[in-house]
Amino acid sequence: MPYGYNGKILRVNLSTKEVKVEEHDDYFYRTYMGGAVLGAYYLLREMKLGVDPFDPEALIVFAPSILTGTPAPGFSRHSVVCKSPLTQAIADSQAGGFWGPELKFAGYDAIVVKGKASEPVYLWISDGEAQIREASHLWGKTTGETQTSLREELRDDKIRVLAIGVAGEKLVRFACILNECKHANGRLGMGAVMGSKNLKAIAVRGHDKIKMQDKDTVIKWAKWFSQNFMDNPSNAGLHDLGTGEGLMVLNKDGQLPTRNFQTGFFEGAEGISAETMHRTIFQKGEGCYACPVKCKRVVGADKPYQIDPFYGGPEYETLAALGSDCGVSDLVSVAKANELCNKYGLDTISTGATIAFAMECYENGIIAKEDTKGIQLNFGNADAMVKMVEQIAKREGMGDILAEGTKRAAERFGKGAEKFAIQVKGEEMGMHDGRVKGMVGFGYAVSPIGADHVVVEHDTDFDFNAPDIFVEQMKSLGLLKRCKTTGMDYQKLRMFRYLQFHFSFMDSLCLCVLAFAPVRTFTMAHLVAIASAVTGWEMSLWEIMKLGERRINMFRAFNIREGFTPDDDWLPQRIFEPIKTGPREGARYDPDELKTMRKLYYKIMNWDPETSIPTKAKLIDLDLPWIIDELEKVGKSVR
Amino acid sequence: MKVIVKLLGSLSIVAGIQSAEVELEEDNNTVERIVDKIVGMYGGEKIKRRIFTRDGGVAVTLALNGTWCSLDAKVKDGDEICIMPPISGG
Repeated sequence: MPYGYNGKILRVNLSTKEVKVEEHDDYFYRTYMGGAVLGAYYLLREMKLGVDPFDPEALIVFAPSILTGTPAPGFSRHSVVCKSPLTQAIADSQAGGFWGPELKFAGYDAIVVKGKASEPVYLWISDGEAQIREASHLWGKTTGETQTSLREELRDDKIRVLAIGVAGEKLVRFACILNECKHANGRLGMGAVMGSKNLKAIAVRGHDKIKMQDKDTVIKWAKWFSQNFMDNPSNAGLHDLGTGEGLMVLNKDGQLPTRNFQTGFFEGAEGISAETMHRTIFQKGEGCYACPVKCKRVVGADKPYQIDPFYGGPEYETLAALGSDCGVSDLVSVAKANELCNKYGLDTISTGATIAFAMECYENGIIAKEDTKGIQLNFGNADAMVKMVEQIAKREGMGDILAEGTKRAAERFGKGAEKFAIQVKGEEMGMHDGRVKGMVGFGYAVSPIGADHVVVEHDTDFDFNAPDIFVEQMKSLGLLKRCKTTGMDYQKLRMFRYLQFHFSFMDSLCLCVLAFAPVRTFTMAHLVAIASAVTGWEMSLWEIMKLGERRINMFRAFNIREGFTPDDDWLPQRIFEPIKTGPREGARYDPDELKTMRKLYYKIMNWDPETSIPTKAKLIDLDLPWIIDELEKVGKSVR
Repeated sequence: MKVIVKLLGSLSIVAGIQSAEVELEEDNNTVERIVDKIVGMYGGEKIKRRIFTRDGGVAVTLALNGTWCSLDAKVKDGDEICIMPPISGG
């Protein structure tokens, strides 16, 4: 009898309306485990070379992991994996909340969807049964209206709904997917992939808890977490103020992305800070399944905008992207933009970054008032920022161009606009400045999914000023020394590799980085103990790190197959230019250093240093020999 | 001597202040002495639990006049000390 997983994967073809169940053995689950790796398995195996993300033949995989639904903090997440319409590369994005555990309780470990429905549909999965149902009445509805409507229609207010909004329907290239209308698979446009398939939502309900081999051990550590998380400096802050707690600290250190990354110091930071939120519009903290940290914010306001608490509240990335990066210091305006993004299903990071890009284009005369239909798109114009969110979601006016993302919009605008597009592989940069955080910057460049900020634990956590506890908790990975925050060197390259595997297995096991070491409460030893207790397998950190390495290699192989080269592992021009003002004035990324470190990284990963193709030896080491065939079939030389 | 102490993040919520002026009679002081004063004046054990880990390690980031510092840094009249959460990410 399997523990942790159900042994059933749902296969859905929306073109043929076929729904079937696929079963795999223990070997399959122990090799791929779930989440990002499971998704990559299906994309590499079944998606043909060059298929457009919006083509009916494109796959989209919804996958929790063998551990999801474990009644312990940090085990609530699920991944969505597809080819990104923003980058044309492989994409994964994780969301917390309740949907992943509920899918497990309903009897499935993942859903693999292909095809395109002739009319809008939703999937209804209930205690092992799955149906494709008509959803024309939901098309055009907000995520909130969709969720309410489905719960009424199916007569159960405990149904967990994953849905897209109008942005996904209109194929905005950074449309997201939400569950509970506030937990987002935010990045890389997977909401648009759902929209391209006429798939509005997936509603799930299950009554079977996951089977664990040693439930007592799991419960013991879950209780321990609840009793101790307030002693962890990061988790205590997350509980009190949410992820926004760090905004003022980043600003004080001169690394808060401001006015499209022109500088790292925002004079209006206090206005959008978590402290101000707490004193003004904050209503309560909320959490994900089985988590006492409750780092999510719920906010409400009446002026200058009415804010509906139903859609939660802005997190750090949102505060920075729609706030400081747009030069906006009015918290209620940022909260309104956040509400609209959750209603319409937009990634708050790419939305904010794209508006910031447009603002810089506007201030430099690349676009004019006639183009924006009278909107004065200057940095700091909060009303304009909110209007642009609305326009992007509905593809109205200038929003239709911005809905393509900064890379494509810059090509459309011309006149040198590309230098204002702060993106890698087409994905807008997370709200952390690579000129200051060296490993984060390096991760932006070499990550297979683009400029994602959750590729590696951040440099500042191991700086000479960081608390001892973070450094101590990193040592079980064999990383023993502190580092300086800026730049890369040999020590940091080694750190990057191990910490990248670490974040990579987190995305594969669908674990929350805000619950685990090196920075947060659960240690690596706790993870191994809980994973072993859930599955009944005698697991080790080595095995789990190999899972992380497997993900990176599978993702790299997918991109290689699609034609990506080392030239795509690069940073936008702005990151090579010095920060203009503030405490970090003058900080920049050195392109020569990036070139040198990139080649060394390929070597340390056992990839071809010239092409970045994983070697035959590495793919064999990771038990992925079939990928050698997949690459050679399309003419890629695997040495 | 007088110094200004600023608190950021959840520290300001727990202590109930964003900044405070701390006055000390003796001149030869360190950041640690100022932090002790803040603990005594605002929040007591609650704020102490945020500034120090259970084993006595420092759980915050400290700055003296805008430059990172440690607990044993010397302070002088008119200095500004900032006690803030660790600069984290992820």
